[in-house]
Amino acid sequence: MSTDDRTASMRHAFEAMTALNGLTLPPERVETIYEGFVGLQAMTADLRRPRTAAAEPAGIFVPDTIIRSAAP
Amino acid sequence: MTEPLETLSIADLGTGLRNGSLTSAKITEHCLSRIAELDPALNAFITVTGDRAMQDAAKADRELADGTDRGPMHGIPYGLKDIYDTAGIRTTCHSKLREDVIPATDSVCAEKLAQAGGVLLGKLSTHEFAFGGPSFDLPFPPARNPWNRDHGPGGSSSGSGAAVAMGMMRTAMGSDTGGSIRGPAAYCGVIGIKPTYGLVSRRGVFPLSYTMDHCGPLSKTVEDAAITLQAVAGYDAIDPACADMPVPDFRASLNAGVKGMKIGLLRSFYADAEGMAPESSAAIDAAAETLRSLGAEVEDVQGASPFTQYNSCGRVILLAEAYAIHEEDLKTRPLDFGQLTMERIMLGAYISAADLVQAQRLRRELSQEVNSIFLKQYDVLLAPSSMTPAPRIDAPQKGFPLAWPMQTMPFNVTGNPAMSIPIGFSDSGLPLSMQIVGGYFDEATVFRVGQAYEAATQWHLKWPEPALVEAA
Repeated sequence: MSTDDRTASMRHAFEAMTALNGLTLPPERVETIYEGFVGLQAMTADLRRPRTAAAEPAGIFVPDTIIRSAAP
Repeated sequence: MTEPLETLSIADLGTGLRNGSLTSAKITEHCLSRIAELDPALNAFITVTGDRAMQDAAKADRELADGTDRGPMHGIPYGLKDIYDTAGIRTTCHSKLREDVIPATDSVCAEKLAQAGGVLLGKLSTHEFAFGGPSFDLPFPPARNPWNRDHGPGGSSSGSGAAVAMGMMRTAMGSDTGGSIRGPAAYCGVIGIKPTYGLVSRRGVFPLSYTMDHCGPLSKTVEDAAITLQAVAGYDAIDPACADMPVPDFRASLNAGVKGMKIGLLRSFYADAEGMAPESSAAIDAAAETLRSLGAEVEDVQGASPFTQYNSCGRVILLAEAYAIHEEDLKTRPLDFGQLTMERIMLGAYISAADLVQAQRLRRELSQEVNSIFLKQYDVLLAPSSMTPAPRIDAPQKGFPLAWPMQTMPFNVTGNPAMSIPIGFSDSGLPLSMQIVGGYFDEATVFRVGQAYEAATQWHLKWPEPALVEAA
């Protein structure tokens, strides 16, 4: 994919996700948010490592305490 | 006591309160006087609760006279970042969206500090919702750095850092999701500790990111921080993240020194990092040398994952959770947020479910790296707090800066206790700092190392010049 194609694809993805999320971005803020979106793609690529299916996410869930909605 | 009251530690103030040479009313009047004199140039406060403070102080004096002693915070003035709920006192989050919100109940930390006999001076500036600024498009101005008011105090607990550094109070509560306690502590030259995730209840503190938020103090000295943390730590059955375990006496081994300790320096985090100021790097080397001279063995940590992975992991989780919290307002009234806050939090909308799960998988791996490898080899770790001194407050801000001068995010990802401590000053007279990082629920060792370093270097005895602030 050429750089121009990649840029167009990225812009298309941004616009599609904006619409899917039901967001109306103020026109004067769109470019700044798009720049952030591009940077975010680099960050999310950084999250991937070789892993087995058994590599679980963080989070400790203790069954008797995970739901606390009232004082004891 | 003849020293200026702002130079007395919480422990020294406590001695004065108990031997009759001081009253809480006198200490509180002194703090309120400094706030009236100095805060117009620093904007550390959103709300000063002067009447409430004098009532709290009078009550503390009566109780101490009657023999009721609530402990080291009894009669001591403090402040709260304005995201901590306070019954009957507005809690704005420094935002137009909550400008007139007056909570009906106290946050757990506010309640605990009141029970400990603390004197609430007021509510302190923050970056909007603990994530924006410094911003000039909000209902309240941004706080400024007491060492040079043309520079920012860091954020998001900006008012807490500025107020403590300027001697308006010895201690204040902040919150830290990616460095919001340690950043302002670093830029303002005070102590800031992000405790272990789960040590302090977050209930009643406006959330930014559920799995990354931590509550903790910014204080003038290590001992002041230990006393404050002692007052707020402990189990809260209603906070789902709070750990049900005993809280140790954080001061029990405060003066035990570092002789024989093994300390790991996370040099790979910053050695080749773009933007690391040479004077910051040199100050960390000097701090490591000081700890060696006190009897610790300090060596570089080998095999750490790149800092960028810790940072990416934390930023993705933070953005996703922050967006979920603010989704409704971002959809319906995005322009009511400050520009920076809106442009940053909005990015959470573009994170996929797979991205978030991959971030959480990486989070487990990085937490294991720090705790199952590094902290098995070392008693504590050292890392920079910030790679630079405080930037100018009018420095251009990007919506989503990829290069971030703070090196605090890794320990929000892992949940370890991490304390920022002053380690000198830049050529321009701004504070430099480092982090001391400990094992889970081992704040006592973090304080112990910090106390040894602080006693050996005495950076805490330096103060910003009030005349420069008053003249502004």
